[in-house]
Formats: sequence, structure tokens, C-alpha cells
Amino acid sequence: MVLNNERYIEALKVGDRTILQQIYAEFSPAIIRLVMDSGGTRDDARDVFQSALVILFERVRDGALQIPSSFGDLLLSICRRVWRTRFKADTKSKAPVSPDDLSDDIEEDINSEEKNLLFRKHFKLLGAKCQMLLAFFFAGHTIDIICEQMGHQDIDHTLKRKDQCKEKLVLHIKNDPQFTVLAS
Amino acid sequence: MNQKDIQQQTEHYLRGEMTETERSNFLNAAQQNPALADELAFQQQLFRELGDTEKQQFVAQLASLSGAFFSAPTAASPVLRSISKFILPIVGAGILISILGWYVLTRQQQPASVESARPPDSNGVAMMDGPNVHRVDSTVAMHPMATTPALPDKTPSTAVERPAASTSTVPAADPVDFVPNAYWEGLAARKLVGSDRSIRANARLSGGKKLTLKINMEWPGGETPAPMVVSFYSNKDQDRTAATLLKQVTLELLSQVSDDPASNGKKSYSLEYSAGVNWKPGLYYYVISFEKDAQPILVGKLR
Repeated sequence: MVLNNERYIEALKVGDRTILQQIYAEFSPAIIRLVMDSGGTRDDARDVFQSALVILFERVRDGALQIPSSFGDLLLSICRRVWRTRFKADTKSKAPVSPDDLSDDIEEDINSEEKNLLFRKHFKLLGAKCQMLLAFFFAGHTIDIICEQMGHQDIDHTLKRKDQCKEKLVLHIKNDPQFTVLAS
Repeated sequence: MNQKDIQQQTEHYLRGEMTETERSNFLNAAQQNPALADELAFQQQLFRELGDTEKQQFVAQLASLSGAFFSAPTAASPVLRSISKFILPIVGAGILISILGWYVLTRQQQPASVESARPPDSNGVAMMDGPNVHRVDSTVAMHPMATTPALPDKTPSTAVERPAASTSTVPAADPVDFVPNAYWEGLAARKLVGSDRSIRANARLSGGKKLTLKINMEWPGGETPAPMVVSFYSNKDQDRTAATLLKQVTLELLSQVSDDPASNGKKSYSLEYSAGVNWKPGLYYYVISFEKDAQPILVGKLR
């Protein structure tokens, strides 16, 4: 069943699991073909697809999503661009270069999402307690609340743990070779 | 400023912990100091990304969905294919012949005792004994084996134990599931009933398996509390907006509580509710409301 663009946009906005599943079912085979035909793996295809959906999610949330033709075409075009950007430095891959009708600022979104992906990757590599503490911290909760939520004895301990966890995260991100590539 | 100072200043700026003057000075400094400007840009994106709980929840949802669509189709290796094609049927046939042989030998050696051990029945099993006991040419001969005293004792017990072991697995903790929900936190911090009444509750989740909720109320003596419901939500905002409940319980308060007259004309009510659940580690909210209008009168949280 092909849904109209509005249904897809609404699904991204509210995180409608059923329609998101339908998006995966409908469009993932094309992305798998695209990525695997040019030297990538199924995992690469999954990551590309997820990045494209996240970019669309942010655009929908910001009210900045314009769909020139169909949702499917837009999603596939963004996937192509993400794939091309991600494996630009990989000489083995032969990422396809084909014209599309994406706006110029999509490159900016893709680059930003690539960095975000790196942040998320290293965040997930932290211990569970560090992740929880930093999730509270980055979400803007006060140290008092974080101390209470984490079950710490005092605020000094929370501040110390926060510094340790954040330093570790920042160090890992900045030491990742991909970070240098994205920063350049 | 050294690197530590730069990081701390940037943190204070991004968390809105600076005065207006400090902010202005910081931004001026960032314009003149490329290292500070870089650190600001980096941390700004880090805060924006990892502090965006709505986006993190969306990403987590995608991650949970993607596995089914991007996993490789199950293709057996050549070795496995040859095993399944040739070896397994041979092994299977060997096992079958062994079982049938064992069955036939057993029946030959002890026909009377097996027959006497079996209670008289009318389910048709007995019809396969007697003259046909030596028969080895049909799978039908397998069915009586299931009713002999030796084998059935083992088969059901292992079949029961396996599911019990698998259901005791509690999923791993995900920090996204512990992020406070701003809406529920706001309501949890407020008193939602009038000053002439009070409601307190305490909820516990033991090992993600047992939910316990204790409620104490003081209500004006001349007023009977209307039926109430307790609704349990995850910390996800999309669950709240879509009214996706984990559980809802109607509190039959008057039939279940003690009703002790209080000195100031109020009546005290208390209720304890417990139930088995299977919730993964996380932050959950419970909302107590009147059944008729669904207006929250108390919001609490549990983890």
C-alpha cells in the first residue's frame, strides 16, 4: 500500500511504528541494492537508511521538509547522497554519482548528521551509568536532580563523575579518525 | 584560558548558567580565540545531539525496527547444506530404527508387565498392542510409546522448564529509557487536588517483574471519592501523546480500603495494589485520575 506524503510526514513526526515499518518494508530493498552494488554491506545500507530517516525526521520537526515529488523519491535521493558522502574517502567503494533534485542545504544536514552519528556511536560505547548521567546532563537537568536520579551521595561526586564521563566521551570522539575527516 | 577553562566556560554558556554580562564576554572571547570558537561549535553540537531526547528516542525506535529488514537472508553454508541434505536424514533414520528396535525388544521381553502397568483405557491405544506389538513398519507404532510409563515422564518436564527459563530474561538497560519526561515531571512536582484533601502514593518496581503501588488518601468526610484509575506510562513523550498505556488499573477504592474516621472531619483511605509485570529497566510514570473525567489527581514515578 502506497501512502500519501502527508501520512509519511505525520509518521515521522509522531514516531508511528506501523508506518515506519512500512517505510522500511517498502524502501529498504532499493537501498540494500544501491549500497551492495557499490561495494557496501547490509549494515552499511541499514546505517545509510537510518541516517536518511533521521535527517527527514529533523526536517519534519523543524517544519522545513519540502517534498518535490514523492516521499520515496526524496528518501532514496537522500540515501544516495548519504552513501556518497560516507564513503567518499573509501577508495574501494564506487558510490554512484547521479543528479537529484535535492536542495543544496541537504549536504549541510548530511554532514551534521554524520557528526551526530559519531557522537551517538561513542556515547553508546560508554558504560551504562556514564550514559545515563550524561543523558541527564545534556538534556539540561540540574546537578541536584542528576545527583538524586543517579542515587549519588552528594553533588561533588556527581560533578566529578560527570567530568570523567564527558572527558572520556570527548576524547574518544576526537580520537576517532572519522572526526578529523568530518572536521576538515 | 587553558583547555579545562575553555571546556568549563563553554559548558556554563551552553547550559545557560552565565549572567548576561558573562555571556557577552564569553561570546566576545570566542570571536577572538579560534580554539574557544572551535570548542564552542563542537560542544554546541554535542549538547544539541545528545540532549535531544526526542531524537534519541526516534533513533532508538529506528534501530529496533531495522534489524528485520536489513539482516542477511538465511543461506546455509555448503557444509550445512550437505549436512541437511544427506547426513541429517541418515542420522534421523538411524535414530528412528534404534527407537523402533528398542521398542520391539522391550515389548518382546516384557509384554505382560507393560500391559498390566497400563490402566484399562478406552482411548484406542490398547488396540495397538497385542497382535500388532511386533510391527515395525509404520510410524503409527510410535504413538503407543508415548503412553508407556517410561518415556512420558521425561518429555513433559523438559518442555515445561524451557519457557520458564526464557521468560525470566530481563532486557538490558537503555539510558534513553531513564530520561525524565518533562510533562510528567511537571505534574509530579505539583499538588493536583484541593487543599482540603490529600493523596500520596508510593510505587515500586522489583526487578521489572513485580509492581507494587500504595496509596493513602484523606478526603472530606461528607464526600465519597469517585472511582479512580491508575495509568502507567513509559517515559516516552510519544506514548503520552498517543495515550499508549503500559497498564491501567481501576481502583475499587471503597470496597477495598479501610475507612477510618479522622478527627478533623476527613476520612482516610489506603490501598495497596500489586501485580506481575514484565517491564524493561527504565523510568515509568503512574497517573492517578478519576475514572469519569481522567483529570490527573496525582502523578508519580517509579523505576
